[in-house]
Amino acid sequence: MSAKFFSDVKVLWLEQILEIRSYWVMYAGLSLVLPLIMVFGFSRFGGDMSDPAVLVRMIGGTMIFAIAQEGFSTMAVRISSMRRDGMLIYYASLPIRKTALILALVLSRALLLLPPVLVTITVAPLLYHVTIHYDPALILLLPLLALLFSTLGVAFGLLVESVELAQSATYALLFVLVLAAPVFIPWESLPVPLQIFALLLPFAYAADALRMTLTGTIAAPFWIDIAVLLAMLIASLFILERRLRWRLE
Amino acid sequence: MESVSVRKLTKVYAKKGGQTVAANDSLSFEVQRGELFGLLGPNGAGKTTLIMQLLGLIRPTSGEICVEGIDVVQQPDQVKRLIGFLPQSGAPMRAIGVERALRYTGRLRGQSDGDAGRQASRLMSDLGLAHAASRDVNTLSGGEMRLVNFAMALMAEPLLLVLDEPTNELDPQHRRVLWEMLDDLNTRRGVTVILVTHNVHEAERVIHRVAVMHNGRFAALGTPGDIKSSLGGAVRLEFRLKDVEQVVAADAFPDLGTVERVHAGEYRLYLPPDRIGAGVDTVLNGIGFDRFDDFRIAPPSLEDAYLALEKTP
Repeated sequence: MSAKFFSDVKVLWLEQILEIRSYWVMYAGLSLVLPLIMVFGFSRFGGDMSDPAVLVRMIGGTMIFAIAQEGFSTMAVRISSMRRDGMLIYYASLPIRKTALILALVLSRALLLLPPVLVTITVAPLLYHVTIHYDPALILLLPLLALLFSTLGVAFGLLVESVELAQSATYALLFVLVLAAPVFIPWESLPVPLQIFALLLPFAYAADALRMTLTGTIAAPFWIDIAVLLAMLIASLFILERRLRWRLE
Repeated sequence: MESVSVRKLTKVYAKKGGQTVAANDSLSFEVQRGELFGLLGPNGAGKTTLIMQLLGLIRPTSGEICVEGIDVVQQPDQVKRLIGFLPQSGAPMRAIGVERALRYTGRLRGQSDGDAGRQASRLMSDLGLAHAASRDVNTLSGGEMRLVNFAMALMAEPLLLVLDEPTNELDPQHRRVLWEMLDDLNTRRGVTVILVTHNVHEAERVIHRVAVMHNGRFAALGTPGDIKSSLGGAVRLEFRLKDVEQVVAADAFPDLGTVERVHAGEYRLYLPPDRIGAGVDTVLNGIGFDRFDDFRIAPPSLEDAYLALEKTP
C-alpha cells in the first residue's frame, strides 16, 4: 500500500462524509427507530421474557440486523445508484485503486451504523433488566461486522443489474436474516439444510460471536468466528479489487 | 509525435440469442500531440465505446490502443494519470463545495494539496466560478455545474483531455468561455483534446481534425475542410417563411433537388456551384419574396457534411 493509496482513501472518505453531512442527523434519528421496535417486538414473539438467553439473542440479533440493514442494504443500493448514474465510470477514470474507493465508502457508512447499534446495546438492557457484558472485544467485533457487511453490500450493488433489483434483493435478504438464519432463531431450531446454508453466510458467525461477547463467555469458538469473518472480509476485498472491472461492460 | 495511436481496434459485444455486434470495427487512427480532434456521430455509432477503451475502462476484443506511447490495455493505471476526462453525465462530488470538488479531484489525480488549491483558485477565476467557491456543486445552475465538471477534468494539468459533450446545458455565454479556454489550453499549453460532441457548428471553429463514426466504423476522417469537400462544393440555401404553417413540398423545385424541412416553416436545399444564381431566382420567384422571414446562402459547414454522411447508408 503506497502513501497515494492512503491519501486517496482519506480524500474519498472526506468527500463521502461531506455528502452524508446534509442528511446525517435525520438519517441517524430514523435509524434508531427500527432497532428499538425490533427489540420491543421480537422479545415478545420469542416467548419467555424472563429467559436472559432469549433476550440476549434478541439484542444481538437486532444489532446484526441494524448493521446488515445499514451496511449491506444501504451500501448495495448506494453503489447500484452510483453505477446507474455513471459515477463509477468517473471514479474508474481516475488514477485510484478500486479498494481505495470501496474502503472510503465503507468507512464513511460505518459512522451511520454506530447510532442504531449503540442505542440497542444501551437501551435494551434497561428495558428488560437483563445484564449484558460490555466486553472490549466489541471494539473489534462491531467494526469488523460493519466493514464486512458494507463490503458485501458494495459487491452485491456492483453485481445486480438495477437499483430496483438491488432494493428488492436486499429486502429479501433481510427477511432471510430474520426468519431463516441463526440470528433470532436458535441454531438447533433450524432444519439441517438451513444450518448448512447458514455456514456459508456471515450471519451465523456474527450472531455466535456477538452472543459470546454480550454474555461474557468468550472462548476459543469466538476467535474461530472472528477468523472466519475476517477471512470473509479479506476475500470480499480481494475479489472486488481483482475480479470486478468496475462492471462497465 | 503521436499522443494517441489506435490500430485495428475492435470491440465486439455479445447479444442475447448468441448474436454479436461490433461497437468498434477495426478502427485505426492517430491523434498528434497538441491536436484538437473531434469525434462525431449519431447515438449508438460507437463513440462512447471508443472513449471507454481509450480510458482503459473497457478491454478491446482485438487491436492496439496507446496513449503517449503507453499501451492502455497493459498499463491502464499509468494512462489514467495522463488523461483528464469529462463524462457526458454522472460526475460525482455534487454535494460538496466547488473549491473542494476541484481540490479533491486534483489530489486524486496526484497533485499536492497546495498545488491543487492553487490550480482550483485559478480555474474558478478563469471560468467565472469564484463567486461559488464555497457553494455545494448541486446548488449551482446546470451550466455552472457543467463548468465545474470541466474544471475537474483540467485538474493536475493532464496531457490529454477527453471531453464528452462538454457544452451540454451551457448557455451561449458559458459556451464561449469553454471554447476560449479549450483554444487557450490547446494553443498555449499544447494540450491534446479529443472532443465528442453533437454541437458540430461550434466545434468546427476549434477542431483541427475530425472523425465521423457510423455503425462502429469511420464514415469519414480528415480536416473539416476535407470532410466538407465531400459535398462537392455545394452551397447551402436556407430560408424561413413568415407563415410557419405554409408547407414547401420536398419536390417543389425538381430542377434544384430535394427541399429539406429543418423546422416548421424552415427549409434548406443544397445547390451545386454552377446553379446558385438560377437556384436563388427559382426559389425567390416560386415562393414570393414577401413571404420570406429570412433567406440565406452559405458555403457548406461541417454540420452539413456530417448530416450528409449520416444519411449515407
